[in-house]
Amino acid sequence: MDFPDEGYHFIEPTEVSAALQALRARLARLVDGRARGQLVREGARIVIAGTPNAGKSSLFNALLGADRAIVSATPGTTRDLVSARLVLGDYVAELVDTAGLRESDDAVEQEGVRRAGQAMGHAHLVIVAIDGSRPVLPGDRAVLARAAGGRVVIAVTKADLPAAWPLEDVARDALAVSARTGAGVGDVITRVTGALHEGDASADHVLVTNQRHGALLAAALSHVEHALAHFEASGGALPEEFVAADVQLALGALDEVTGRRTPDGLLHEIFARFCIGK
Amino acid sequence: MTKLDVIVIGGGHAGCEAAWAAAKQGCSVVLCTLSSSTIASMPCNPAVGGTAKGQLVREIDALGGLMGLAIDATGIQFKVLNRSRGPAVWAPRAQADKQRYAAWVRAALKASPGITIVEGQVARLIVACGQVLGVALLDGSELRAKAVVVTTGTFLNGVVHVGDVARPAGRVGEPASEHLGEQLRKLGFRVGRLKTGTPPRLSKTSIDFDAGVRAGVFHVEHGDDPPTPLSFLTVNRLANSVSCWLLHSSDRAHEAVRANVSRSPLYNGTIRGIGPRYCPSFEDKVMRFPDRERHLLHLEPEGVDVDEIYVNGLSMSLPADVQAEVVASLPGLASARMIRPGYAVEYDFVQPTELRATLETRRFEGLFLAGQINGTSGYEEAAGQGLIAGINAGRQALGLEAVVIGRDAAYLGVMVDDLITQGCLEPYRLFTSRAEFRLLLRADNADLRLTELGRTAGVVDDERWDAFLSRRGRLEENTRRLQTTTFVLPSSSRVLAVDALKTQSVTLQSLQKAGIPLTPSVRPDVDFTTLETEVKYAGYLRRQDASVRRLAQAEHQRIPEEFCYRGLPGFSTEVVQRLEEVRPATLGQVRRIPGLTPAAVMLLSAHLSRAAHLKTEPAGADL
Repeated sequence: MDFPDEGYHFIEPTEVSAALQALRARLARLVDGRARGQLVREGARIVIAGTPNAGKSSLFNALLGADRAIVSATPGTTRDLVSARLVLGDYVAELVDTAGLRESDDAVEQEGVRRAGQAMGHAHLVIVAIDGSRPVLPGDRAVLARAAGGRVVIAVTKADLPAAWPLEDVARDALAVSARTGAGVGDVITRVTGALHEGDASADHVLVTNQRHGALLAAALSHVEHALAHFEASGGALPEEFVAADVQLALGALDEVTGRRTPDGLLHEIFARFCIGK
Repeated sequence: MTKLDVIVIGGGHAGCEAAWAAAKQGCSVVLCTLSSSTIASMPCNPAVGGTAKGQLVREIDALGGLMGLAIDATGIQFKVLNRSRGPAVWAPRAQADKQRYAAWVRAALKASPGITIVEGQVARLIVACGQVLGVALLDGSELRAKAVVVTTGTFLNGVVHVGDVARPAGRVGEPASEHLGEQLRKLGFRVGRLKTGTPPRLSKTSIDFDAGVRAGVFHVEHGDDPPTPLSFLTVNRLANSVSCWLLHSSDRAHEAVRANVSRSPLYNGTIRGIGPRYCPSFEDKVMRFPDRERHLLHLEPEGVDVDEIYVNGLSMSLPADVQAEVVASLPGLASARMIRPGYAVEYDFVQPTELRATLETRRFEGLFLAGQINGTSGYEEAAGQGLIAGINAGRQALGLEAVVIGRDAAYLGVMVDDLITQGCLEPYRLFTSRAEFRLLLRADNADLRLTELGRTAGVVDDERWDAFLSRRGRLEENTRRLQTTTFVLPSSSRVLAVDALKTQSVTLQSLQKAGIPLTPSVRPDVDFTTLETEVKYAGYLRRQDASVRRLAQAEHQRIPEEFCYRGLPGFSTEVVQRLEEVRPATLGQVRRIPGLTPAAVMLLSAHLSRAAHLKTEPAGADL
């Protein structure tokens, strides 16, 4: 746009969409990396959920006992949530037991359910504990439904007792575990660790660990999406200065991350590669 | 001796605007020039405007400057660049009749009651106690003033090179000013060296343009019909009285350069100054881009009655005989006669990080620098700085508060902020890509952005103010009409005219033809673009406006000039050095200092808030 007479066309209108799509994909990968970066920085939050007496606390203790890399255990930090930290693969995880909920009266139970639900909402992964020695209760189904949509590992507890129903009744990939004998505990840990690392291989090698950077990348992504949407809606007729305006806003956001200012760098690149000017 | 308000040293485009702007405010002004016959001369290309520069000329005009009026009065071909793109990036440009342009500006300055033109060379500045007091001329006389604006262009220790011949000169045939350059160094200014160049001039009568066109080697370039003015005040119909021609260089011409390149001062180490990358010499084009078979050249008349053709794109510093050989080997120019060879000029400039956003030096109160002395290139860039320096020198002489223009308000603001924040490594030219808010800084709305400010600053006279009010009134009334008139589409459904205009293919002209009752006073040349752009791209303009507001907080967080960066925990010596060099006035400026990481900016922001908290003065003391 600064050199209209020079006969250079840096990007053909037909290439704009593809270029923006590539840019969007790259930014989207970086933005995804933001979630992973947060896992690294803040640690993964793993919540054990289930109906009362489903064996949550036993599972909690068994998981900690099986893992020798316990960082700290701080029982009773709140009245109804118990948590401990352990290392799972690349991540430090905080394991949260929603134990301590007792059905003394309705109000307390409701409050307990509310807090457990809240904990599940903030979790990176939920381990749903279901008692395998008794019939599946509507409450179990409710917890499962609640956990669906996020990362879930289903642990069917009390595997040392006679099973009341086949595992497949609840989910094909449910794991049988016995806190008393320790059978299956290793499987749960393997499954949980694998689930936390899911998607790492395809993720960007750049890890965004700074929250501000994450927000700026998300802003850059939204500007590119705006450019793409408007360019495609116009059937490619939108003059390029408007695409450039969005790209410039995106660049501005990225500059905030890198601390570099682009105009001079961009001009340098152009002058080095093209013979421009009179 | 009576004390003047403002002295301007230099009568180039920066000096003329500076003197004009100071005098407009009622100041007594002396303009010192080596010769009044070279006031407002155009030593390089015979044109004003172009991408970013056209917007700049409109801004200068919106603030009561001379350049737009001068080019409209004396232009010989008018063309809006970037027409293939949307109106937001259209850039007006005009070919100038050089002699008439300069004569027009000279006459305007002479007619200004506040301006006295003094012919003579300034030997030195008179300074004492961090303050400028006046100037001493080479003949021994002295002038005293409250403010001095230095606009010496390429004259500071200027050396002109033509092949193996180098001699001290500001431009060809004019003496360099050596004393002032030495004095600025001695006063402690950081002085660097730059280079620029100009192409050979050819005799118009020696070129058979028709034959060139018939042979298919020249392509005629016409002006726009109707022509678009560069000044908001121009109402007379402009005329295109000349054509230009486009041609391409040939392999034979490139061969002539290659065979003689060791005789170019650019290539044998004689020239040390740094030239502009965006305006490469022909030697550079040939040597640096060997794969290019041909380069674009333009033949531009330097005036209507002048036998001189400017070969745009052929800037050279080769010896005259080689230049003649290069010219003769260009298609269609075998028998062209070279009137003057091109040349390169090396000159001193002062690192503009020395300056405040008013273009006043921090070193000496009342001393302002504008134009090429600040490392810029281009008439428009010089004129724009001259205007800002002139406004502020005048205000300082009158005891008024300084005027600063932001990056979000004008290319003027972008340019000044770039200069004082980044400094110069090569001659600085404005590009639209330097602006964060290109869609807001348009040629069509320069008056809407700046004329009120100019009125407050006392540089917009009644005539311009009335014209502005009536234009703003026209825009408001016609916007209202577009918002309230319905328009019948071919599909016979009815929509508001304003919504119809949002369709890419619908123009205001087509709506007017279809019977939308715009006011009779509406001006297609300046109003249509504004109305269409504001309607068609409202969403984009709002987004850029929102960005401006988001950044406003940092832009308005001021840093005291005496703020002490040393000893602040968390800063490297290098960062402290950069900050002390630039002495940023706002946190926004800090963000733009090269090499400062966002972490350093945040750290400084925290230090500033703490310093503000620790201050026990009553709140608002430094507002």
